[in-house]
Amino acid sequence: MAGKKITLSHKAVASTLLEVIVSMVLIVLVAGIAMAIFGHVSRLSLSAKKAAAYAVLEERMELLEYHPADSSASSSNSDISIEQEIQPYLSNKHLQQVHLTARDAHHNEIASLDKIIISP
Amino acid sequence: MVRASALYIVIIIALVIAVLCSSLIVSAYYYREGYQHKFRYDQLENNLASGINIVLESNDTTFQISKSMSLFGHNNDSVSLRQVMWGVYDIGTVRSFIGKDTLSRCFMIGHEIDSAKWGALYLSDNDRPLSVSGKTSITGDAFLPKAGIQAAYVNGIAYTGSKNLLTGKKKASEKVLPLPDTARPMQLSKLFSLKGDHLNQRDSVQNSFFDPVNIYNLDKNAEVVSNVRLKGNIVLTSDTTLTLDSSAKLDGILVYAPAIVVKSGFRGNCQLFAKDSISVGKNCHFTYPSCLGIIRTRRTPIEQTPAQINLGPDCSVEGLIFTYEAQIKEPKAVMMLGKQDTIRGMIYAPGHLQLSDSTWVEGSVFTSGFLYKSPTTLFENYLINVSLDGQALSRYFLGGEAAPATTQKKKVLKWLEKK
Repeated sequence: MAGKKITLSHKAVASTLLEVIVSMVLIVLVAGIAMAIFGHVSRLSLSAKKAAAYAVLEERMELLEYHPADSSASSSNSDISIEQEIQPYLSNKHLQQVHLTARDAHHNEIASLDKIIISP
Repeated sequence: MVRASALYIVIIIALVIAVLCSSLIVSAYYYREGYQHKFRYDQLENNLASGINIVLESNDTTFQISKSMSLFGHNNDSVSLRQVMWGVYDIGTVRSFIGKDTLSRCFMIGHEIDSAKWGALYLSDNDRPLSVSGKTSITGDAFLPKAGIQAAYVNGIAYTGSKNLLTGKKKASEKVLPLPDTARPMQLSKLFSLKGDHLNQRDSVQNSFFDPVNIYNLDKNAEVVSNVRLKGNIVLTSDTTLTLDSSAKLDGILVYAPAIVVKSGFRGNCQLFAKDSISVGKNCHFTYPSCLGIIRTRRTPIEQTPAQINLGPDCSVEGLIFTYEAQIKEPKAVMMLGKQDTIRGMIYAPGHLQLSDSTWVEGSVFTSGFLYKSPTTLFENYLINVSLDGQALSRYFLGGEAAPATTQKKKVLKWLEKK
């Protein structure tokens, strides 16, 4: 008796190595493409900070145009600071070019606004 | 234990993930599109407002021809500006554009009132006092002759108004009325000879101020403009007397003719310019900003009759009524207002001004002399049962280019069109 012969009465329940590899590649590929596109779209979208900065700049511009006495050269509003630059426009003494810049706490530019207003 | 055929399960899961990610991406894309659209239009609005400010502060000739420019030297701040004469007022058109996105505005421009020169009355000094009788009231500052103002008893009517005769400051007037800007009447006088298409009176015509002007010339035969609606950038000219029927609806247009007759019951918003006379029937109403003006740059031997503006009873005019003669000669121009007429704005009469019972002027009267006609007598510098109220005029009232007592400061008088 040299030994007993083993016979498999049923097939093993498992995935082949090829199937698993292809599956992993597929998942990584789909997730990668999705992340890349989503990141790109998000990067170009409006951030809440930017929207708030524009609102503050527009408010300041209105103040400069209609109530110039109430506006100062630079000011900060919570974590947004505003810088304003006013210069004559095209040598017309009745026109002013106003350039407003909103910056965050790290002094990075968030938004800017240019407008020509009539000198008060 | 992972079952066999896991690839199928993974493909389905990958598809679900892909669909979820795609929907996120699509929503983010539309959000970005919406935001960028709003941002672009905010910028266009901002550039448009800048362009409007430039037009308001420019002199008349700078933008006669449409001019495109970059406001700040960037690539998203282009504007196109234009300012043209429109009767005694101006029309400004501003267009701002970024790529294919465009915003346009068209507006009428007027001049701010000069409060130092403005008064309820400016009567030039002809060494004769102003006499008031009946229920005459003058509210506001008045520029009067050195001889002053006095109460008078005329035609059996005594003065029954305020004891002070005048509510406001009394200031000294000069011998000559403040002169209007002469350039505008001279420019307007050249437009009497404009030629254009024949007006088909069965149609209604509306022309945008963004488009070239439509000029309609009536024939040499005196024509009645009736049953027609004309609106916007339209000029109507005639070689002879032009009659406006009450069935004609005019909105914002200009009319030039040697003589103009407006039939009773007319209602509209227009600027009428004549060389000889403007005759308005009863119960006619001209809404703001309207203008009735006589312009005579030279007087030919045929034109020896005085220029005349005659308003029937119960009329109202909101805007400007004036006569302009390059050389004031006798017989002087005469302006006659009917009973219970209401004028909101300015009357500039360097000739004679004849006011009737219960004439009400909310604004300012500039004249060299008043006339009052009774059945038997002609009185000079008498005001009887007339109200002149310089303070009742809206503080938003703006004068025309030719009007005196206005400053160089221009403002938007009326928004006409937007695209």
